[in-house]
Amino acid sequence: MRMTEHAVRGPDCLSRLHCDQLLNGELEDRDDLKAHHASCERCTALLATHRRERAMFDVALHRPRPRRRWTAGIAAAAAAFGLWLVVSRDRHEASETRSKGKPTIAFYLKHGNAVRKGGPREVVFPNDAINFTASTDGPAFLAIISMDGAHKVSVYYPDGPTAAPLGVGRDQVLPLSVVLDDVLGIERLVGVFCDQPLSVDQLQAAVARDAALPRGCVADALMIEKRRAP
Amino acid sequence: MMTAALLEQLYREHGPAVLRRARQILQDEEEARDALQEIFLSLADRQPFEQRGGTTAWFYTRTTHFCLNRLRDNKNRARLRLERSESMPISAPARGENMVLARDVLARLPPELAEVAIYYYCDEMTHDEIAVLMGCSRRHIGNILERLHVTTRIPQCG
Repeated sequence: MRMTEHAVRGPDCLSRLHCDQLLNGELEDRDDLKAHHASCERCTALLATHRRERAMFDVALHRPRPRRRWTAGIAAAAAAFGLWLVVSRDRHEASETRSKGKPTIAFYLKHGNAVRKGGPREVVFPNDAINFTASTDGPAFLAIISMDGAHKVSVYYPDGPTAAPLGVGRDQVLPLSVVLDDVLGIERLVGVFCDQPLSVDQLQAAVARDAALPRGCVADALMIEKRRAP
Repeated sequence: MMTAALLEQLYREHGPAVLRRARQILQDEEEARDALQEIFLSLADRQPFEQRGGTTAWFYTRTTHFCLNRLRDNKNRARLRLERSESMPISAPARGENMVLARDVLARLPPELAEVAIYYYCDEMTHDEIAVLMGCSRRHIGNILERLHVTTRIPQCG
């Protein structure tokens, strides 16, 4: 005898697979199953259990991380790199040049134990770590997209399906670090600032095609040049 | 490659069933949640599903295989620890003899028998349904179940 928490399954009864398929709209042509479950106490209860299970499902999916790159929350990054970004910002704060107007992205670069503020067409090496900052005079939603030397387009920020909210402020440290992979050449980093939380996939596709950004979005781009480690 | 939006949609539709199956087979909440994440993250580099009708069945078999492999890995690690005379306890949590026994039995069974055992005893599938899911004949499933009955008695599924 087969044993579950539900009554024994009759020959016409739904299996758990049937229940999941029904709820996913995969058995639209199975009128026999639909008719049976409406008249069967066991199947009605089983399907209700599945519906409740779906309604209560609250486990978040961790977004896939870019291949050969590493991302982590700022706390983890700080622990791993010995608070490198915080120390670096203190050093650079006084000489910071600030401008108002167009939103911008910038970055700090960690190479070995040395940390510096990234400049135009900064020369970087595989395994260097980058932590972005962003500046904006108005609230925005931000995504940072990369197109590397092999023309592979990746999302560096955020670690979710839609552009992340960004408050007003200059040089706001973003809560992600990226360790660069070993694809050499010029890499273009595009910060896309939007007035609504658009899909990261939509923004990634626009950057990949070099197409016009969605209405309400503006971009700020940086270049880095990745060379083979000396 | 699968887009993040499509992955999210699949997760909403199939995540609950994957987690339920992982809980049933692994009998461990933390391991089941790990399995849920690993199964979906492994889809990131995969082409999108072309035939929507078979997606739920695909997740059923994928979860079953993944969890059975995990049970075997755990059992092998436990065996190696014993062989090395380490004092650490084996990985199965002390949450009732039947749960430990179920994990142990499934881990010891040949892969095909373990898979059929889950479909038959836990999912209450018929021979025909199992045959469709595994892509083999109904007769073959009958033979496997006979071997299964001879080999062991399957404890209750959770």
